[in-house]
Amino acid sequence: MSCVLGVALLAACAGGGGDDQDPASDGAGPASTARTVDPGAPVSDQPIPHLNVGLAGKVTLVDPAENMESGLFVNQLGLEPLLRIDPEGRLQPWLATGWEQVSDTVYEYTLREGVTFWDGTELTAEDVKYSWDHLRAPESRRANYFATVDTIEVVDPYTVRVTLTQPDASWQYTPAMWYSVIFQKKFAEQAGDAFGQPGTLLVATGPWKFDSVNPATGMELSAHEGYWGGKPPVDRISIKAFADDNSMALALRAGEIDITPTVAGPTGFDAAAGGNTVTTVETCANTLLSIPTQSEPWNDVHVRRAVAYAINQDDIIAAAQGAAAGPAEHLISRRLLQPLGSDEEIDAALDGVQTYPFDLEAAEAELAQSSVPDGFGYDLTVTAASAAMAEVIAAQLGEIGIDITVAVLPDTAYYAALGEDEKPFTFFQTGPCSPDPSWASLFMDTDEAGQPVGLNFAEYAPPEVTQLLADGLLEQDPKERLGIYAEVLTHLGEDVPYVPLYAEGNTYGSTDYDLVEFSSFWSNLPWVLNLVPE
Amino acid sequence: MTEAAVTAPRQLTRRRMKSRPPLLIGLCLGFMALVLLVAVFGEALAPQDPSQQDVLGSLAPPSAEHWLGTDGLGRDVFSRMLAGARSAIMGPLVIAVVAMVCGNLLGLLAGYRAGLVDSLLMRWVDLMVAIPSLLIIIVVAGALGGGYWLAVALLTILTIPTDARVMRAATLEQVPRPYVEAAKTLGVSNGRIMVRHIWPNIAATAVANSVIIFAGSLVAIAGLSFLGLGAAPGTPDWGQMLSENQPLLFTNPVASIAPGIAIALTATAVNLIGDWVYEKMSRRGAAR
Repeated sequence: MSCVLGVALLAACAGGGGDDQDPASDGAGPASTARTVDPGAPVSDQPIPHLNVGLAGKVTLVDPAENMESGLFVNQLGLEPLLRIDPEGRLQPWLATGWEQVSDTVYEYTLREGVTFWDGTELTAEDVKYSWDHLRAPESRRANYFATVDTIEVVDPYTVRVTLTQPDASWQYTPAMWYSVIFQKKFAEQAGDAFGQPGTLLVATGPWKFDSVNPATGMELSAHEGYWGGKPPVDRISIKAFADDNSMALALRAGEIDITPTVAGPTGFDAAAGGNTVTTVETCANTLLSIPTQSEPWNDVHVRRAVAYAINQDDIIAAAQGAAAGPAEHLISRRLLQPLGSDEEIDAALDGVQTYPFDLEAAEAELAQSSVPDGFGYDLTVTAASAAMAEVIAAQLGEIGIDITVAVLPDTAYYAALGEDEKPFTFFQTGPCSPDPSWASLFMDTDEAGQPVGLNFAEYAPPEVTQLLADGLLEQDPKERLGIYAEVLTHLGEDVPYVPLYAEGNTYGSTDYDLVEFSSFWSNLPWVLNLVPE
Repeated sequence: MTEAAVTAPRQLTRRRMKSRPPLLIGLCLGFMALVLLVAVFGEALAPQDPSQQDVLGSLAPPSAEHWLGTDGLGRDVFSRMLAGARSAIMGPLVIAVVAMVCGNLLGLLAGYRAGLVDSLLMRWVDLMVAIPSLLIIIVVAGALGGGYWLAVALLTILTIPTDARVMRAATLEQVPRPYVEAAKTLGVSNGRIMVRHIWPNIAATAVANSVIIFAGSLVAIAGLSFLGLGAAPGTPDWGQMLSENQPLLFTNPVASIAPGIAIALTATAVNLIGDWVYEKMSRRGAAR
């Protein structure tokens, strides 16, 4: 999985269940089946003395408020959330045994009794409050996920109450996500500013303890014997850092690693690893072509529609070399709408939404109506990792007279360009998403003055869409919410600030193990508990 | 028949054989002639459009249709190899020629005039030579966004001092010689002495050095393209292909190996030809 933008800005990837793909095994395998064992229990009891896990990238720290990219995937082996999201997007117990929406703005969580930290002390509501306060502090990278939280209170040692400033339908999923994990208050207070750093680490409740972190080479973990779900089946886990897929694939082939949950280019990885090694599962995230709607000539909707018609998703998916799980129709994927209604209801709601199937004649007709009927030149700004895909897009737009130059920037320069006032014409993987359609509002985000901010790289901020997005959070009735988000998609279909390129897939690589429930939400929980020998 | 009459044809044959390049050099010359031909006419010779994508036909192994298979975007690797020869040759040629002209002039000037001119030029050369060239190029090209001609310009600037230093040393060796003293005595201008009298005697060094610069630049530009700081994405370029096709090492290995072999063979051939030319010119110079 390569969340070009997503991981950097949003971090770990997640999504919904459903039509999973498994190119390697040519059918649905364990990856697309749900856990059926009790919370905290391993799917397989087979003991594994030592598991070597490959990871593209480095683990630099373990503070969940700060860590990025690869660190998130290993953090979840030791840090747990209160709830679990199953592959269908439903909430299930984990550290919390119960949860209740007391009113539109008040939620209460009942903690599992007898959960102990790695040092043997018991998890209490104080630890939950402290963890969430740490994660929602203004300087935290995760603060935006807690934006509507007003107060977090300890009702009793096993009950936490969260009061929101306003109704927020997306909050229900937050306690199940990687950005709401729990750690020990006492240790964090003692550690102070060193909390989560390689020399200090942290104390949590997960099945594997963090023994050491070496930002250059990886991480060592060992089993938490007193884990509330029973003794973990894997005694020791070594996380090994790799620079790229190829070296990781060769390590898998040589037996140096047993599994990697983060394969960016499945086709190349599989070939290098010896074949039949990868499993890809579709997520709820879509890769998006972002059109700077405030810049000329993109401020002409006919230009944007021409681009949408000119994009041939089949070629884009083929060029993704296995990283794409399928075509994408809308910015808000169908998976995100599934919690709001049945398939028929979703079909009915999306019936009037404009889509843009590949059609060069229609593209040329749209361009002919635009302010640049003879075409124009523009830069498609990307990082080196996306250059090949950018060349495909450039060739496709070249067919209708849009002369695209692929401008490759170093990662830091690219992210700086995204922060400029004049946004680049670019595309990015959106990566992580919660099961709620409100997640997509990140890409239409506005400030209080209605100006585009944050990840709204298309600078798309019509007041009516902003209002609809706000209504989508306030509204509690699923059917009403489905209608609201269908209306948002109708606006997006007409205005085309983003062109969906493909549905993103998560891929793991292994010859010895499968990962059960490798759904979009795999990285929210200690995923090694879901390991089963092939 | 006299003895002389019998031996003369044999001596003639031996002399002719000596003047012919050895087999290895002949192969190198033939190879470079081919590379130059492809560099000039590569796009026209390519059996397919080097930029034409066929994504659904990507990663095809070598076949009658695609001699070296296809890359990740379904482009014909053989056609891209042919088209890529131009950027492989053009940049190093520009660097070698510009560095030779500038470096020779500066080296001659420093070596011949000596004194303050020599000191100033050589301290500048010392400064430039002390800079880790490749690192500076990576930093500057990275900061300015990269690009093939930027890489060529940076390499040229950083190569001139090296050439100037070599040519200065060669000039210093010539300056005390009687023919230079004689020219001075006859009132020949300094410029004429440098260009018409000294330079022909150090031309072998100049040519050999330029050939080395050419070969080094070929590898350096390919390296910069490999790092994404040379040719633009999508451009048929051997270094770029090496980088783009690296992930294909296990799907279509030829796609990533072929440009590497082309770079290595071209650099080797140029170096061997340079050595041979140097020997030949030195021998001729010594005979004179």
